[in-house]
Amino acid sequence: MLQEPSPHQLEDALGRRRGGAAIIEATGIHPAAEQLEALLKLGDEIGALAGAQPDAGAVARLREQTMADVVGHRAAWVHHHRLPVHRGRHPLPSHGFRWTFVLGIAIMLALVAGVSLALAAQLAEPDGSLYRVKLDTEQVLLAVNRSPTSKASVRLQLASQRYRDTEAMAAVGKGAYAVQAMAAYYDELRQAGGLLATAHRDSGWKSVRDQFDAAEAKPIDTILTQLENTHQAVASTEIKALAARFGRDRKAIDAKLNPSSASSTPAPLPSGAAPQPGGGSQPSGTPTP
Amino acid sequence: MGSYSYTDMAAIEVRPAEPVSTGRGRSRGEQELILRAQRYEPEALEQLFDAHVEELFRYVDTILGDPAGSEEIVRLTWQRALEGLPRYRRFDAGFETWLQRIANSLIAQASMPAAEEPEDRLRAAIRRLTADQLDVITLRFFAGLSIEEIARATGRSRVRVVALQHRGMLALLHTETT
Repeated sequence: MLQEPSPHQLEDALGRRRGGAAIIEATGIHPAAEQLEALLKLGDEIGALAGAQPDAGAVARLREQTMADVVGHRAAWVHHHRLPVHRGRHPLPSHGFRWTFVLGIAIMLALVAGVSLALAAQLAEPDGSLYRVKLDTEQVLLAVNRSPTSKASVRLQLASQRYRDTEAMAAVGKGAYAVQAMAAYYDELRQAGGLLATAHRDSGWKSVRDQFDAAEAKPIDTILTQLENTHQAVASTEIKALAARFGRDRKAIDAKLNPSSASSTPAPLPSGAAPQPGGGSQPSGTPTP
Repeated sequence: MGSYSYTDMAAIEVRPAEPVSTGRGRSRGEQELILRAQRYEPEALEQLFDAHVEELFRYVDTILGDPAGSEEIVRLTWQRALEGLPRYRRFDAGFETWLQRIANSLIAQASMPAAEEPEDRLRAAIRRLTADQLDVITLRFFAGLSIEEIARATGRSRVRVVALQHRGMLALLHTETT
């Protein structure tokens, strides 16, 4: 039995033969030389097989049939790959629009924050961190009211608020804050009186004038008592002095507001306040309610 | 270009890019042409057909030795190629080699006419090889591809291709001697 060459021995021999070597050279001295030689001869025979050139008619027929198939495949491909029609989307906003949008959002946030802060500040008391905001917010209220009468009305409301602040601070024994709030109370009253004096006197004016009378008649005895109970004697003394000072100013204000009855207006001075020399206010042992 | 003699095949190995016959040097132009053909653009397919039909016919006829049968195999090869074109990915192996492998699978399934001449008996023996052996022997000896190129085109290892060549040659030798 002939010995068979290995696959690589055959490939090497085929390579040498392909390189132009004679069969005997390509085979070489090899245990399987005989079989290898037969395989190389077979390779030559296979390589010598020739195919015919297609005639023009065959090529034309093949082309016609193939291209007919192409038409069908193309139609199927187009049908399969037909792109879905997407509905047009809204165009993207321009940069200008985007910035306007961002600015709008920022303004809205600022407004919300501002309003929230102002509302929170309304609950603040003189010893609170938001009290300054509360005062600024009140200035806005004043600014939006144009006529002297309406401004006077706002100032009287603010005076009432300062009075309540004073009460709150006196109750907790914070004398300095109470004095500060009381001074603001009298200032608001003075300014309201000044505004009313220059305002046109109509039915609205009379209403505000009545408010003024009510606001300036608030008693301070309770405040003084609370300050003394909380050992805030200095503050109590200062408040009495503030009341006495306002009592002096009040006569002139009343004269401007109602010259005919100025001298007869009662004075809501606290007990212990200095009497008004030559004025209409008469201090008494019991504060005027 | 006629059929490859044994010495012609050596020349093909060292010749610069001949994409149609060697499976090497695939140009970017051919790749773009195939990509267009994968969308069944008629012009692209017409160009591919013109570039490959004669070579494919000679290749098939080298195995069959029957022009009428070769025409039928070539027709069926193009038919199958059109069906499988969208899945074609072996750009590096070459379009011609892809067509030849389709033709090989069709030849392996085709009925064989009676062999009279020695050449026809050899062709008949080749067609009786297993599909894998037929693929390697025809690509090696008729298409003139190297072992590496056959490995790349068929997706087999070099060792496996060498082994298939060896077994195919021994089978043919056995047929010849008996």
